[in-house]
Amino acid sequence: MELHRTHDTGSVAESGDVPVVELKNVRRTFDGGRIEALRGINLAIHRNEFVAISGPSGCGKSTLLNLMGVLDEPDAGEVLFGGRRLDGISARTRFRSREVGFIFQAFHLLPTLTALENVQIPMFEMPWSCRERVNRARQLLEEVGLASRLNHLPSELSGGERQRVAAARSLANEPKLILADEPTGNLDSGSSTQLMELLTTLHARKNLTLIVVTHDPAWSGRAGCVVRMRDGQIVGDIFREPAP
Amino acid sequence: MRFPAFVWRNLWCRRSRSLLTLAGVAVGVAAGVSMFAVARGFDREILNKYAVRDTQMIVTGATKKRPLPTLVDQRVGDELAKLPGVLGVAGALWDVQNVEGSTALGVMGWETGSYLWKHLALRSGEQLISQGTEDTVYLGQIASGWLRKSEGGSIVFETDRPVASRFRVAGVFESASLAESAAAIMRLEILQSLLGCEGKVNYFNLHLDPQISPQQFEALREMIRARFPDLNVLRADEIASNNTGLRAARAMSIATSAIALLIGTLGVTNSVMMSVFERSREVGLLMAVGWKTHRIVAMILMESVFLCLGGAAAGSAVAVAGVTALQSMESLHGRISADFAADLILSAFLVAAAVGLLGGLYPAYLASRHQPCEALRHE
Repeated sequence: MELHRTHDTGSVAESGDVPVVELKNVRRTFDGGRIEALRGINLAIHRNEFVAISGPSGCGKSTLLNLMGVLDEPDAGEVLFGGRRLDGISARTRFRSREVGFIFQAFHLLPTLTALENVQIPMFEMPWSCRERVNRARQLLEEVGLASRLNHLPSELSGGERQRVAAARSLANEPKLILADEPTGNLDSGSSTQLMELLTTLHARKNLTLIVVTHDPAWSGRAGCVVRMRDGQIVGDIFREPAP
Repeated sequence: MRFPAFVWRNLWCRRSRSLLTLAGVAVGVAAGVSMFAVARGFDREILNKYAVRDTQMIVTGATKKRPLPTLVDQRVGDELAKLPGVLGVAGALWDVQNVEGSTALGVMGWETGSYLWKHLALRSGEQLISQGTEDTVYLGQIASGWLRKSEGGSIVFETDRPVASRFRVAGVFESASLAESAAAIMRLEILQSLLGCEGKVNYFNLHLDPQISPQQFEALREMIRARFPDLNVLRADEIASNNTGLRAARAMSIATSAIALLIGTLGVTNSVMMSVFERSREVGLLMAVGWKTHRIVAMILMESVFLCLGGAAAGSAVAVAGVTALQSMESLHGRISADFAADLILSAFLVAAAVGLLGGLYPAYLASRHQPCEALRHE
């Protein structure tokens, strides 16, 4: 088995690949330093990996995901993307637009837009025509099994369908990194399983790097690596052979 | 989906608030547009009055120091008629009289046989330019309607003078000028007698040679000023711009519009800011999916401008409908002239768009300052 990462030591993967995301001694505090959400995180995630980050509530999983998605900035340490720091609003915005897709626990679909329109939202920043945006959104919704629900509002969709719309939206601008924050947290077990299968399939088919923050142990069985966190620190990781 | 359609959807999903904000802007626009339209209508009416009379120059005793019309010796007209480029001079007297106890009516006295009578079209009654001494009066169509009088009837002017104040209506005429259509016209000497100012007029209408150049016009003006230093010489458009009542109306229009503008801007700012606060999570999502700051600013500003343009459309429609309704009221018929020219409506839309931009600026700035992960947590 090839070692993909180490934590706490700050050493880089032996594969020689530049990590897609690398955190070096990252710290993040809130409430004026009273709450230490992350305490010196070292983590490297490589291309095409499927990583599950697990741990109890409040251990810093979502904070870690926010930093990896450039939604937040660390108080100390470095977050590198493809070996580079993202300095400046413009570079960070461009990264969020083109390099990463998000799936949130609460779906965060715009309630007044149909499924087809919700998927087009990230595409406004791409140099695509209106027709191209529509065609692409339709194709993505077909990929996630919602071909018959294109013109439905979120309120007319089930929880599982909403999260599949969010998954399609995360793929809108052809990112290589997908970050999912408790994607099955609001779903029943049937929908959860369907979504897990969908994301696992998409990960394999599109050569995505998939990072999932989750409480759900079912994800652990599907991920190539499980990073366990407690009290703002990585306390261990489990590696598996990549699927053939 | 296109970007403007997305912006429109944001407004549509908050219909009640959007409509209330739009209504606020519409009220301001309606007030401003109707006041400007009426002020401009009076401007146009003054220009029209002299245009239909074929009068290019007015000589009056009213000056900047003495804004009210002052009586001038009628014989001055004979001197003016001798000046180069002057084809006709018509002395005129103008006053407002109470008629039949209550109606205030403009009364004009024109010199017998002067060129002024030519543009009036007699609709009924005796031939215009009566040569007799009989106390007769001609009514404009609108005045005839107000007084419910036509040829053969009689009207009584309320006056303290010990002269006959009952006049026979000799006919009803039509004029392209609203001011004339809403007035009574009689021979000059009869009105002079009624007002006790025999041999006096308020002003002279001068019909000039059509070939006269602007330089020659100015030379003529200087000539008259040199000869009659107490008189004022004006073009028709200068009459409108010097009119004290019109200046007050214009000032009122500007003041009303400025207040409406301020209230509109505050209303729009408040409404859009509330919308931004409510949609913090949505703004956070848009940032999370990579929307640039300028696109978020554009979204908020477009919402604000759309609201104001909607307000401008509704306000302009209300202004046109409201003023038209006022004009059609019997008590105001012929008293209000309004000019809803395209440039006025266009100005209303441009000002509304500016209000939208101004009102949306601060909310847009606030939206652009959101931190995505904090905004996404917002409840």
